[in-house]
Amino acid sequence: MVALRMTIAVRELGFRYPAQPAAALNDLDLEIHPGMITWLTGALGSGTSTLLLAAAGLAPRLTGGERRGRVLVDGSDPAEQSPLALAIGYLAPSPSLQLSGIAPTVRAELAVGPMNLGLGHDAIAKRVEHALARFDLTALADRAPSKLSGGETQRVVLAALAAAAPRFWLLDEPFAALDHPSRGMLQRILRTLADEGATVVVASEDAEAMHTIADRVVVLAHGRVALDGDPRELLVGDALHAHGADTTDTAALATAAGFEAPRPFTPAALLKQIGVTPDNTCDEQDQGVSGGCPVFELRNVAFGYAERGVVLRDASMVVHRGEACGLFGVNGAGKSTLLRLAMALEHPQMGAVIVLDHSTSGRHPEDLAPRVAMLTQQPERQLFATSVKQECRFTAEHAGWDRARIDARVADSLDQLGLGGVADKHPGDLPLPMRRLVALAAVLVAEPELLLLDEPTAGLDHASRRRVIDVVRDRSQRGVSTLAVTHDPVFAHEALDRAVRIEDGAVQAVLPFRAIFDDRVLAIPPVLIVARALHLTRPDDRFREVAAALAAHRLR
Amino acid sequence: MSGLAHRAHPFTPATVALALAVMALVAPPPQGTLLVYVVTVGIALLTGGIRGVILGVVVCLPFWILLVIMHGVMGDAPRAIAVLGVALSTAGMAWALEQGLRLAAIVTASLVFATSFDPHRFLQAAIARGWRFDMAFLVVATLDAADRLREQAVRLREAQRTRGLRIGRSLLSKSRAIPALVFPLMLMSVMEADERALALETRGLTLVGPRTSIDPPHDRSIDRMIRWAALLLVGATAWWRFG
Repeated sequence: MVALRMTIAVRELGFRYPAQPAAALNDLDLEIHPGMITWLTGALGSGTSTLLLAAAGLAPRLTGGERRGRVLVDGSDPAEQSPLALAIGYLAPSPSLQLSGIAPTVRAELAVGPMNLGLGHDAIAKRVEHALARFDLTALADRAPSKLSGGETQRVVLAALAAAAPRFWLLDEPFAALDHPSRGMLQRILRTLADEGATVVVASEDAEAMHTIADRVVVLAHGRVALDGDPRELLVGDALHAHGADTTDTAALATAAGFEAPRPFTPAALLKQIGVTPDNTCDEQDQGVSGGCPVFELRNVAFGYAERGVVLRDASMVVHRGEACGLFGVNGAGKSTLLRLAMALEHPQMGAVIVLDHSTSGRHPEDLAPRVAMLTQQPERQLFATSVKQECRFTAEHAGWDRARIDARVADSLDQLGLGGVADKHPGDLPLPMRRLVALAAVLVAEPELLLLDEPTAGLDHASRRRVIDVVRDRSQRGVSTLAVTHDPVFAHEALDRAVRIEDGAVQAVLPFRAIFDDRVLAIPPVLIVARALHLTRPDDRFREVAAALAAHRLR
Repeated sequence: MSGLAHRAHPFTPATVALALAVMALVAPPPQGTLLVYVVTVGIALLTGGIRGVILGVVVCLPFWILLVIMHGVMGDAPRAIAVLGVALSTAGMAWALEQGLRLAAIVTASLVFATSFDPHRFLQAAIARGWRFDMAFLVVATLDAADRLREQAVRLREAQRTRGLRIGRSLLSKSRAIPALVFPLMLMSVMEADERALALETRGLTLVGPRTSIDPPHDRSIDRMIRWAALLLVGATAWWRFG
């Protein structure tokens, strides 16, 4: 095999994780070239993450397991060296695991890579300052890395990788925890890196983020290359979907509306095809508030942490019965803190938090459960039972429910989230997105009246995200209220009724709901762009309704 | 962080803690071990390490009780010392006192050092001295492990409480809570090892070769003097005992 400069060459690569019956990669052949962004995608378990781990030399060195075939990065086998020695920057799907644990500040964290490469003081300082500025982290430079929010941590780890100046960027779901401005920033940075000659490989389910920047898409199925080509050519047809990969929301909308391939995969192309002019106004009346009785209320709440200072000041808001309310704001604004206050994990320093007609003062989370349920970030970390079914029984058993009722509710929750087939499996044997769904199923079983969800769709594939949306809509119709923190515009648009923005410690209702979608906080979902152009208003501006309207328009 | 220990060169508290532990072992009991314990507590209070002293008492208390029961109550005759009407073994109590003081001095010195330990400064100092990075990192990871485990335990406890787990005061309630708290924590601890390995690999901490100390702690003459004094005191203590 001829070693091409700056190329990742994979030949007949097979890989099997320890104690797993099926191989994750099977005789995979691929050559990845510099100067372009290569997008790896596929169905859940298709092997994209494993391929990145093998290319970074971490599989099998860290993961264990058995590798066959060859991987060459710039002519060297990465399994024999540290990634940084080969100028490889690898981002894991959970970036918090990549913090060094030895740096007291973000600035020191960024210096870890260059320090380990033995660069001079001036070079280290220059690289660190450049990376801080490039990833918009200057304001966080003196904060402790372990105290940052998920999105901030993701940016810090990316900046830390950048400070080591890798020539190969291997990124696994790099957009997962980022807010809208940070996503745009990362897209621009990746484009610049590729244009400067770096080899950029991104494994991502996020077709919306990738289709605008990827030069090449490689779809894996059962550990092999199933498709390889120009994203813009593949996104218009059925091939991506046929191999289980996610396509764009516009392409999915066009498919649901009965468009034949080649289909448009951007809102602009779709509207052009049907001869409709885009409409960017959002002046309709807000229709989200149900008018039911209050389920959750903040009354002039002030709260802060010793190490972070004031997070909320004089914050007031109400969530009514059956209402699905979203909390929005930039990374670190205090959205997760608000959920912690609602669950009585924290108590306000001033004001009152009222949940289900009672103040949380003097109460504990276990006093609120199961009427209030919370899904934390990285909920898979709290799973402990030996089977999915057992895991889901936990809350209801603690609430003293009878066996028959629990069994019925567990079966219902698992079916609703598409987990019926894995009910008897060990949660630890499931892929990460499915473990997150198991955690959600576990909180739904005891029929909570208030759902507190922290990034419920982070790291989920398109189908799983759709299930979560359906669950929230279904619960809203049954009178269950939801308070959700999300950076996912599609989840926000499809599942939520009302938006609250947290900015500088203040809580502001956003009216109308559609106004939340702007370049500051959330991208405008493609379905909403089409809905606006078709003059559809709430509640007829969601996926199914827009698809139906689009189909009718097309037939006309 | 506060206190003299945090301003000192990171090797100074490490040397002092090590010296105190060795002195506690070699000092002639009971006067010598008592003196070492008093000095340890004094240094801890002077350097802002009171948390280590309190933790030391908490850790040692069960052992002290055990020593009194094993050697004082159940020890050999003659029995002379009477506490609450129980005659205690004279030799047993002397032995319990010696071992109790020795244990207290070693545990307190170690905990005062561990609670004031700054991994970043220690590693920077080790790099500046040209120490083997993997060995220095091993020290840091070991001392940091308890903190990380505690943080994980707090997060996990919170998460399970949101699912309705009640950890009451009764033994029955506590034993019921064990599976939901201990199993995931054990699992997370195992995962922690893998996760640390990921950070080590991807951030270049396993690279072989020269490293740069970004901000090497200043090694003042007072630091060097304290370290030499600590070593001399170890020698003097050994001479006191064996000389």
